Amino acid sequence: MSATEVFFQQVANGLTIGMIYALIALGYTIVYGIVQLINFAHGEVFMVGAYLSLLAYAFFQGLALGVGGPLLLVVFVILFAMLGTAILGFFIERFAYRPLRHAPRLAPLLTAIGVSFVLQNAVMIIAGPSDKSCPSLVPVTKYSFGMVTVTNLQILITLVSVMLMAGLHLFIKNTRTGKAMRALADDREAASLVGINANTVISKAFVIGSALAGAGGVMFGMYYNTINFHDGYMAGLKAFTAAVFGGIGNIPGAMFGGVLLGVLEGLGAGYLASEWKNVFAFFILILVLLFRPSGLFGSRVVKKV
Amino acid sequence: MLEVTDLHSGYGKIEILKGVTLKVPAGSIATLIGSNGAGKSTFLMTLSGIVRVRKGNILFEGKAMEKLPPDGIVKLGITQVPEGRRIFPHLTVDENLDLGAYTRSLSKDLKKDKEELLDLFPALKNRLTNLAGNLSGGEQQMLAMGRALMARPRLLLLDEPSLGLAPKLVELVFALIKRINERGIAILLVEQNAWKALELADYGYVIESGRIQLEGPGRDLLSNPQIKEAYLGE
Ligand SMILES: Nc1ncnc2c1ncn2[C@@H]1O[C@H](COP(=O)(O)OP(=O)(O)OP(=O)(O)O)[C@@H](O)[C@H]1O
Ligand SMILES: [Mg+2]
Repeated sequence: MSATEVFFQQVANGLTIGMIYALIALGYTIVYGIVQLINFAHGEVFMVGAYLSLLAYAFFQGLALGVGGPLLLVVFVILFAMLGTAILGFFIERFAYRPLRHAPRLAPLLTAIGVSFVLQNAVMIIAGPSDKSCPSLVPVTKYSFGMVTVTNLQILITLVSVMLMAGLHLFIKNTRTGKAMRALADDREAASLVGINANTVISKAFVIGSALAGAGGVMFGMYYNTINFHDGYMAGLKAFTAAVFGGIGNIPGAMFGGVLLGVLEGLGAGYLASEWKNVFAFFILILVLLFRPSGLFGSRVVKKV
Repeated sequence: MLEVTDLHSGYGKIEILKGVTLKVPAGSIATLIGSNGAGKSTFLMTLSGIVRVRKGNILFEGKAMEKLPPDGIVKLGITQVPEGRRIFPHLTVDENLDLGAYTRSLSKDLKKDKEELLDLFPALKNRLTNLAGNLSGGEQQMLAMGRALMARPRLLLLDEPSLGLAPKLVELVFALIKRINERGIAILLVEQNAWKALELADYGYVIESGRIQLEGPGRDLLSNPQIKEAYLGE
């Protein structure tokens, strides 16, 4: 492959994984925007999402043979995993973070580590410590566009991610809860004065963020065809990097940061060596924290839609 | 309508309110004046449920409300226009108004209410799609008042609504308070501008160091020599 070919191919590959980073990054950013809390257990929620897809696949695989075909299967598996991780997110907020709402900032950070540990171990005990293979859910076909080859799976992941992000955007922009989220991000006390119950809204933010991470987990499994109980750690850190990259608290920033990180990582893997891929992400994190701690677009919080 | 008895509250170890007793009869205008740091804002925040009651009672239309959370108090019919306006700067004017009606967003009258409100605050009419943070100080004050009214309160708490406004706008704000009151909404007004507040109010209270020092009908307080010296600058 020529250098140009490598470039376009890696951009295409990076876009796909970047979409998944973006979905996870959104969860960090929405929660941070509203409560200034970094939910470091979020990567584990993503991992649980991938495992739930295995469970859902066992339930629904018959669907692939019916009228809807594999696409219907994908929809069901994703919805199942999103529902599961949404419930998980609800309980994490309710029991790990809410009791610490007025505690010093270090406390929820420590709890987050505890929650991560519990989730990883629970999954390890239930599903076993070795890698699990994940189905692609759709028969994979390759398409060549000039210099680039993409699979239908990559297109599907991109489409689903874009739809979910557009859905989130519309939700935050137009719904009563979305407005309440932005109001809380702007001025917590003033939000209380108009009768917004902060706890309810914070809970919804966790639910939404976790559902998105769950969808990301499913697609991660579909794309890499493997999942392990400690995969949430790396993916979570990368998505966190993406969120910081775009300006933590900034929703479009998290989307953009995720995609950009995926692409940069793809290019790093293409030109350098793929083993350096992970180091690359953290190199970016360090650079951003050093030179632009408020991210590319500034951490304008959920305020900006 | 509002009856506060021996109210205590504060922040951390510091007690700010040390036994405030005050009444706002239905449909009336009461004012609370006092110097900087006297505890006026703390009092309103305690009424709104943001600062916790440590001792004492608050009755609103006969119901005890000292343990209610802020949203419960809004639903009961009390809203506040906080000091410094505190509008949501990154939301549009329209969204700010919608959020004012957050506790009753399912109501069918919202559209009509918003139209009526815009008749009261015509300055906001052409600015509905603007970000609230881009409004002038006066417009922001109108918006803060409009937002608080969207919940259809029966008691409106106003914390220094004329602060930082040009004299003409101060006149306008006081005129608006009067008009709001004419719609049957009781008012509890906290003001630095003691003159205007006492002129407008049916009844006035003077708070110092967390205690009510003096009270009486607005006009009586205006001619009280103690008040004249301390608050009216004479
Ligand atoms: N959030 C807070 N935490 C701790 N102390 C506070 C807080 N808010 C106010 N105080 C203190 O409580 C006291 C009363 O403040 P408050 O804001 O109620 O006074 P005020 O009468 O409204 O004054 P002003 O006329 O300046 O608005 C002050 O000493 C102030 O420093
Ligand atoms: Mg004050």
